Amino acid sequence: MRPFFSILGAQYRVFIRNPLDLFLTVFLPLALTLIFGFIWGGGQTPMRAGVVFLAQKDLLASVLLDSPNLVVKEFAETEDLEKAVAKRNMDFGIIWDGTRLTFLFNRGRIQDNPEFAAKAREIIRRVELRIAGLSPLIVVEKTHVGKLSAANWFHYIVPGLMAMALIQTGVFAIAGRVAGMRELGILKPMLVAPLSGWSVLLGVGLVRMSLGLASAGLLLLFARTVFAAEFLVDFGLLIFYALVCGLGAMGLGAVLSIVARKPGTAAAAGMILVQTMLFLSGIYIPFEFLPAGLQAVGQIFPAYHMAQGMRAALGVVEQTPPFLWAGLGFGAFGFLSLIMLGRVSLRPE
Amino acid sequence: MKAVLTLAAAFMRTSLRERNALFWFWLFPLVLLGLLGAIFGAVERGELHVDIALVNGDSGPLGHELIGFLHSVIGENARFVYIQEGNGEERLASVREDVEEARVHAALLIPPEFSRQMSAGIPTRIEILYRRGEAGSSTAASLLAEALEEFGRNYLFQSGGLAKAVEAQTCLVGGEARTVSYVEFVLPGVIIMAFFIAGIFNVPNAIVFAKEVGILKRYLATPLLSWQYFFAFFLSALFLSLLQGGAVWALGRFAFGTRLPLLRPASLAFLLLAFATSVALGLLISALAHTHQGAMALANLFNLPLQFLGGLYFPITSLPKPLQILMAVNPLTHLAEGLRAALGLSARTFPAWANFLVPLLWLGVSVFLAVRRIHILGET
Repeated sequence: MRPFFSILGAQYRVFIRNPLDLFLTVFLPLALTLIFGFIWGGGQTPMRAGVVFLAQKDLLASVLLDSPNLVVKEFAETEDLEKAVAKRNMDFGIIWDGTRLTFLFNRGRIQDNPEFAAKAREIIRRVELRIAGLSPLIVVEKTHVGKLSAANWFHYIVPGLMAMALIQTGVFAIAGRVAGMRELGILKPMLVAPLSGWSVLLGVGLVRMSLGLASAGLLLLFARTVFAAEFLVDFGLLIFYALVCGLGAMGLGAVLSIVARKPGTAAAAGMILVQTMLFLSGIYIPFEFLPAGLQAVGQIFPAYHMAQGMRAALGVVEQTPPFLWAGLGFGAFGFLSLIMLGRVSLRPE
Repeated sequence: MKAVLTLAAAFMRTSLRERNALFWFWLFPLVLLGLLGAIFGAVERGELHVDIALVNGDSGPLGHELIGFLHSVIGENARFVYIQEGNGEERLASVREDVEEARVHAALLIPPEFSRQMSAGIPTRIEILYRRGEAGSSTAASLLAEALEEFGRNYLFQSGGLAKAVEAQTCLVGGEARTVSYVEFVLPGVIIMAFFIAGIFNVPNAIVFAKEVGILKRYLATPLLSWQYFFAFFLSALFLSLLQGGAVWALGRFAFGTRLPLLRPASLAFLLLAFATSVALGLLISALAHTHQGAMALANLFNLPLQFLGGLYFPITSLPKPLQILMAVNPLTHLAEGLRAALGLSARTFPAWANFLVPLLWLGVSVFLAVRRIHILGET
């Protein structure tokens, strides 16, 4: 047992002294949470509309005042309004001459404009009703039935990043660290020492996974303290998904180090896999936005299911049997891969 | 000059043999453009598919009329998974569960008195069940909400409540007078990202590694001068960046039909500035880092935060003050904005001089520090 603990200690020191590993495992997820938190964590930001009233100011002003999620600023000249919209000081502009509404949108705000256009259509409908002295015949009431009372896109990103922190750590523990040890010639002397191969593999894996867990925990703490993001944490589920994420990812790393025999290639393949999962598994980009073909590809990757599992564990989505089965399957895959391929990935050549 | 060219060719060969560099510098920008183009291009064309459940508790004709209207208005974006008639407690509970457990993105509940109330001109409350925060569910709810309001408006026109539609028109401002697609917007960002990644990873990767293993020292034993070494390095990086920029442009042009005038003098100036600033940032990292691992950690520290805060992939607005300051001093913000303005894609939010000056300042400070701290003998 003592040699095993020596390996644990040594691996921990190696990690702490390696600024790149420390940065990628701990600081990068935190930095991304910080950026995404500032961009999406503050809830719904009201739209800013600049208005030039050329006639019947009271009518449009009263409509805009009643319009939810809208902040209005009056401009005296059309040119000033155009400049404000072009410079993004205003989200969109409205010119009202008493009979016609002209909406100004910024050509460069391609992703935002559909939302602004929807708001513009809402304003047109309300102006028509106001002119006729009528109220809307249909009153739409949106009811949130998800688990969290204050869910926004940031609540979906945080568990996804936690899952990815664990998967990345697991993949690189085997495809990066063990392969790197082989490349640097450290593995050979270790294996001729009176140590079992499993001690080496478990030593590396446990240290990396405990750091991945710490990183995921830190990320959750950070989201809760800095952005006051509330989660309904089910600790049992959280531990379950964290463990299967780590185990499965180490299995993936072992497969990669077999498929890509050269150590550098294994790490590069791991990087490609991780990056692909980040984009296709609903971590950075909402899964529903992917075209049907890419959604099908995304669902093949474990990151999609692990991110959903983590969301269930944090109370963002309902826990359903498919998430649980996917978690168990990924964990079992990792366990079997390590059993079958672990010894091969420890080959010093 | 022959020595410089030979060395430049050697640098190029080394770079092309490096697997990580191949992925990050060559493959990743192309894959990223392809992915973003496929994803947001589809969203832009309105090809978003959401699953919706409808429960019609109304026994009158307007409930069915509304369902027909929904099919015609949002049918291209929405798949109506099921339409149930009646609204018993059990049925409502089961629909609610379907939304909660993500089997559908949203559900619309048409109330029992819908036809009667509408006919009497009494405002009717219609409930949409959705999961706030989840992109697909929120989009489905917004689609339904707008379609419902439009149905109410049409009904008022038909019944004579509304007599005249308000005239409305839309104008696009900023940039040149043409329609810009998402791929056209993102392509300059991807080119800058490719230059940036090549600069901050490949430059320190080559210089610090060569310093660490003593390769730089060996150059001293040859008649090669320091400036020739760096010039050769610069030349090889420039050639590779030109190829990469061309590859990204070609993907945009032939796969997505983008038309970007990259050869305009102002565009070329910003591309050159982007390349030089990226190489200079790489030199700065090489100057600050003592080891190869330290250099890669520093490069990663710069990498994603600067990319996301530089608005390379989406325009950033409404940031808190500290991040606005970071954004204003971020060279990538100005390079992307300057290049997009030069291509006529959007107007500047910073003055034109700032778009030039901020990257130039980074370039100057980085080169100054690099000259002072990088010694060809290897000690910094």
